[in-house]
Amino acid sequence: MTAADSLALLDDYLSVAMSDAHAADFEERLFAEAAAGRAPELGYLDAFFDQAAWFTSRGGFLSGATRQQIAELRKLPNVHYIDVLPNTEVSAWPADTKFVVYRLDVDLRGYENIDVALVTPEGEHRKWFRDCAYDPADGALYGACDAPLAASSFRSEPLIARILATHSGSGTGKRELVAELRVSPK
Amino acid sequence: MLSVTDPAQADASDAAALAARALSGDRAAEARLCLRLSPAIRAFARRRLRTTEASSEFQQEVLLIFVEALRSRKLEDPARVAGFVLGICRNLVLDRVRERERRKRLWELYGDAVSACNVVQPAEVTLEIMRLEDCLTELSQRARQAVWLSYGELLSHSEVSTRLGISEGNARVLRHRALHTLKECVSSPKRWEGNQ
Repeated sequence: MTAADSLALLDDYLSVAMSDAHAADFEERLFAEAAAGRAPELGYLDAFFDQAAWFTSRGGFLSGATRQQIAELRKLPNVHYIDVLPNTEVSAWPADTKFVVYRLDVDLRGYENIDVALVTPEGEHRKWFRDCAYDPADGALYGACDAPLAASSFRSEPLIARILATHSGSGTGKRELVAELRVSPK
Repeated sequence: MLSVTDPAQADASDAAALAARALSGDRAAEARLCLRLSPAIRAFARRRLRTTEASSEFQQEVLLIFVEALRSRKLEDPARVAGFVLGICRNLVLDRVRERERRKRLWELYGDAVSACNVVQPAEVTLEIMRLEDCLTELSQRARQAVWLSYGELLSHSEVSTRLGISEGNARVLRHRALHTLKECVSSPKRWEGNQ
């Protein structure tokens, strides 16, 4: 059995997708594996619950934010704001910064299925941000993340944020490149 | 690994050896057993209880009974330590069902007079949390939602599918794939870790 299968079984058990009759057998094995110290998937999901609880305190797993939410965050201490324009040089933020909040200057009103790809100027892929939500009032993308994570996008190397989306009215479902915003560490 | 149908593969001897040492007064062995079994006890509780606090409380109660049993030598066969703890879990659930019925009657009588206040203490920002935050961006919104409803809002399988407006089968596959993707993703070091 692969690790993926074990994880799926555990998820079925925890979510009660597994019947009580199967669960009774499963529990025998679960406890035996745990006592023997041979249940890495159990350890992973156990920790995952705690991590999810941490995200609960921050509003969940959904990515993206609204202009209003970012405005509220900017009132807090240790929060650094970056306005990402087509060519943006990002200076080092104060060492005690806990969160970095940002706005990507783009108007995505009328678009859907929005993904942002971070690539190097040479075209090497770095990271995806999938299914991003824009602010309905100005169409811009807003976000917030921990300072060390933000450093990977804003301060490690020159990167281009390629914003891809489908125009709602096009009827073709074809994805298009809506904007490219270049960010470089200063 | 954790299969419903596979024959038992677990090497229980190590657990049995630990249990034997714990029975003879080895506190480190006792602690190690508790540590090993805790995730299984929490999983058992999470299948049945709706809040993190209730699961933690259940785990503590099981471990208290287990440690008491070890020290008073109620565990007769060290090789059966896993089943012994599972038995404690099952008995405790039965006790709780009876208690819940009693409490339900009290709640009907006095519930309006009681105000409940849940305070969730967020964990520290750990490397694992930052990796998870990083990896979550690569999932589709729907996959994030499926995992979130299960593990953040602690909804049952059928509730998740109802909330997402998809079949139970689709919700299940969506969640399995997302969990696997996240596990693979968080287990590898990220580029930004060198900056910390």
